[in-house]
Amino acid sequence: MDSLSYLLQGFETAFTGWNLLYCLIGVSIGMFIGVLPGLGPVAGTALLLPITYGMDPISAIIMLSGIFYGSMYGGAITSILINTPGEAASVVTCIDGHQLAKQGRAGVALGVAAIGSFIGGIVAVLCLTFIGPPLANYALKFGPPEFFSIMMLGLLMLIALMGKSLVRGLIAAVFGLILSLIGMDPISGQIRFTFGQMELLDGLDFVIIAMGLFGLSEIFTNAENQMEIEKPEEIQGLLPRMDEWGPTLKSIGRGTGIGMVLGLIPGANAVIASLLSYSLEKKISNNPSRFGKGAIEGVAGPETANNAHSGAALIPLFTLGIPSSPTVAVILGAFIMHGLTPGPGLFTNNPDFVWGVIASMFIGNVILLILNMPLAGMWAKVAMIPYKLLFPLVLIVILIGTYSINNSLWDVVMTVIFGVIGYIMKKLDIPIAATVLAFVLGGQIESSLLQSLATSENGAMIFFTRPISGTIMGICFIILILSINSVIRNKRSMLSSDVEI
Amino acid sequence: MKKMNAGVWAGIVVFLIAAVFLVQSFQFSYKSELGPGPGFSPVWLSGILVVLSILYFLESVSGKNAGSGEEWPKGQALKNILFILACLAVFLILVSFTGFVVSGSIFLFLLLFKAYKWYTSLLISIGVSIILFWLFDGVLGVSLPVNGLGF
Repeated sequence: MDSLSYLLQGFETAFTGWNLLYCLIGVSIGMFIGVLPGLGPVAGTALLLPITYGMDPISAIIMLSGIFYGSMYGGAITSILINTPGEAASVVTCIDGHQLAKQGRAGVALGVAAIGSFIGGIVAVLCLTFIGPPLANYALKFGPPEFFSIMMLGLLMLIALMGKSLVRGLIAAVFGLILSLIGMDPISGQIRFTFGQMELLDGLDFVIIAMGLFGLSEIFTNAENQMEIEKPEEIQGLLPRMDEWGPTLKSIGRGTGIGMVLGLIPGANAVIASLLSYSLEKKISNNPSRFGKGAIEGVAGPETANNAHSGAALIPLFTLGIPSSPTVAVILGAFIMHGLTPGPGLFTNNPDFVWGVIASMFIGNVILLILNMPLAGMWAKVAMIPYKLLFPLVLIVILIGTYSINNSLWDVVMTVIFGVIGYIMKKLDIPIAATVLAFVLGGQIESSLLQSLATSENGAMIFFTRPISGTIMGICFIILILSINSVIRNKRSMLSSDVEI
Repeated sequence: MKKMNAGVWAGIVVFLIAAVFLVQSFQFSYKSELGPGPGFSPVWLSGILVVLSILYFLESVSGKNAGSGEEWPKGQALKNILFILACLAVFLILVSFTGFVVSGSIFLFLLLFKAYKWYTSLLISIGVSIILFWLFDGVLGVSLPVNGLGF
């Protein structure tokens, strides 16, 4: 097996002292962010992005992806122990998890969440190991039209799945695309939309957008209300009863499946995965009335699903260069920052990098299992860190982080401005994630569009006459029509609004 | 509908922004020798944004699919947000003159002052600023703004 020998080499890279340390740091920060209410994976990864400037690309991505999947573990702990989700994907875990804790079975809930997360995470990484290379190989045949249509699909999926209004979703995406045009056009050298500002010549930095729209806006939102945190429940015993193992493992299996499939679809985020898993568990249960009163399946399914999702979400990133969720978009930003081109060429051009990162994810999941099972009580104490102490510290790290991009205060001012814009967008229910995703992809979307049109003999028809891009474009149109339909029938209220923050 | 909702205003603002960008877009050449030029995407995108802003305006006026239902901040909540913004402004103004450690300490002290006793806040603020300065300026090699005395 080709993948296996590469993977072994990857383990060699990942097991070197520094990389192991960065993996540990990454997953610990991830746990920390996951546990803390009011600080989610997107803000967390964006916050640490500037710190990775000086780091080796492998170490940087090992650490950032560690934060990403680590936070999915952490979120469950606060949901179960203090009935406050540490991040959005663990909202449903509160329902049954906290009930279990009230019945004195907090340990069992935590144990099941950790085991489920571990299984979901590992299966997803295995999938990346074995599906990734052939998929990337296949995608090597793609030309600009195919990439353009895939990116369109990703953006449309995100818009279709988010928020109540299709129009607002589209505004968010187009806004992001326009922001990405600012600066000197790499093809023609034309300077666009800088309004005479020298600082804008190189365009807006991704860190500014991510930190402002995601990080700062979150702090403004939290400033509105005082956060009261309950006292955590006691933890005793970590494993379920003998007769509970069967149903638990079945839920974990189903959760893994749901998470994996949704992770592959651009735009479907971890919150949707955990919600879907919860409703499936409830639907197929013999006795649905147990749900909401401490059903162990209600913890096992969703917690597995969100972890399987976060692993699987890296598959489109590594093979196609398409981020499927806001956090993955931040990681994509880090790729570009470190001079790596995400996409099908990654497996062949940078095998050391890819396999090192994949191997680190196996290691990271094992570390997380250890961090979660015996040490859960310690993490619950972390959640007790008062927010009034935390937010000034987060703010000053944002200030330093944005300053460090170019050593300029101008960037800091821009971040504050985007923080205010992000806050207003949240209030207006305009999905921020769509803006950030569009901004990250903007440059590639434009260049693939222009390249396609330049080679095309009959204009925009090139996107429809080539079989692969034609099929994807067809799917795009179906999604668009379905979303317009959902607007007309007024059925969008059930969709999640801005999530995974 | 009681008053003009926020969406109506947002629609107008988005429209104005889109219009400014659209007007600018026409300055770039729409075509190049190879096909579409640097003006191609700007014209289309800002044009689409103009259309979307009008749809947004109409959607908000009709009150259908209205906002997130989230309240705009009032009273204490609004004060909290404005206070954070004011602190950020103070930091940005001071930092060029006083250097990071002093302005950072002042920034943190202002934010912590209400929550803790003044000496606790002062200690945390100065401690954190010095640690961060050491971490970023010393270890990570990010040169932070300094004052005449070098910190």
